[in-house]
Amino acid sequence: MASAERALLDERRLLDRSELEALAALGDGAVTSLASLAHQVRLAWCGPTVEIEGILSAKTGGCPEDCHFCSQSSRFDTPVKATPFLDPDEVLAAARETAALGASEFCIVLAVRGPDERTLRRILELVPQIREATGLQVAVSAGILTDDQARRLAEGGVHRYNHNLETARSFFPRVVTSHRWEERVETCRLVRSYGMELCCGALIGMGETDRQRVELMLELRDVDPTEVPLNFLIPQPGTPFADRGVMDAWTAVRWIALFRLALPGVILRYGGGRELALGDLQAMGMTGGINALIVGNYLTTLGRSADADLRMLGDLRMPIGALSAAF
Amino acid sequence: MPATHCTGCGKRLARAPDPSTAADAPAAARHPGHMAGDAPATDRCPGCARPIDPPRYCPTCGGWLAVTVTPTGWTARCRVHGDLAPGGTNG
Repeated sequence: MASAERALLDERRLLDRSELEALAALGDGAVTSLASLAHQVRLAWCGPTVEIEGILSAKTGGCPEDCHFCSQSSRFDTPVKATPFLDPDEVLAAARETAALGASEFCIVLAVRGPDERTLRRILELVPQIREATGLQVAVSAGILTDDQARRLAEGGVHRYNHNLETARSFFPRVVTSHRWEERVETCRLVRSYGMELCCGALIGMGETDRQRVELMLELRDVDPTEVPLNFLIPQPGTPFADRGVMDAWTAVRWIALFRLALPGVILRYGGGRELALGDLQAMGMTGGINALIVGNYLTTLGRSADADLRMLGDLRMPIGALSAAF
Repeated sequence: MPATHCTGCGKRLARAPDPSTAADAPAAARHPGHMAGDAPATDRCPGCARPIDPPRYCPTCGGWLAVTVTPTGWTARCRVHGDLAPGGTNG
């Protein structure tokens, strides 16, 4: 732990695989120390500000892909019914809700393999409308992109594009078989090449090993995201992962800290599943490496109230604002 | 209209709805809402009472609902019975 502290706070160098695996192997008694170091690293690399984002599933369900954790795949018999692209008024109303909560970012999410031409045009119409109506930065998550689509989204004013790696390359074939991990990496590369900020997240608790989580951290480092949303598996009825357990709170705190220690300069955002995994320990994540959160509800599930999160940030004396990558 | 079907799985509820909690509440086009607290859901069977889930099935007929979740609430509409309101549907 002392050498990790020296590396990250004094030398400002990144930890390598062996150092991260050594930290991951520490016993439960070390979790508070890991979280404390992660908080110091977050403050030193990113400052005290917390970024708030609202997300909206603008086109729900009916996705042709087979991501085994997802209730929106058309391959699985889940309770989530496919609904078409929301009307612009509905999207704008959700963006206004988000702005009223003090957020700086609003992400439009679509359950698609990638955007078709009609979908892309609708996104490109919405982005300036949302910005004008709310002043929010607009992020988009619409799956795998072509070179031309990435260019048009960047030119259309998309601030940040979300495309998650979700899991380590070595575990990916057990989670998704309808597309390859390399396709995700290629979209991440395109996003950055056209100047959009890359939001590239992880979903942990799907059955991957500790070593694969460290592998994922290093792979995330390679795609160089501005933001990493950290999600915890919510076992969804009807999906292949329906019977997987929910990660326990102490393990979640441990991995939040480790993600921060591996990725010291990123915006590390609380994503879906935190309410289930962390329960009463959600504030501990905020003092253990997290510096952003999704406020309110998620794409198809409900989160805790925005008031509860804003109260938590107030109690922790954490200012709210917009963030960018620290390096 | 009081719930007769579980909004979590669509199956017919085994018990009669509690009139004190599932009565004729006013219709609302949009439900402000986040995770439910500890109070038991009156429109779900025990195995379906996950606090993180919005309703997915019509409490009147058990048919699928078209659900939109937003940062501060949700809407749900049955093709037959219309918008979901507290305690049941509008139609």
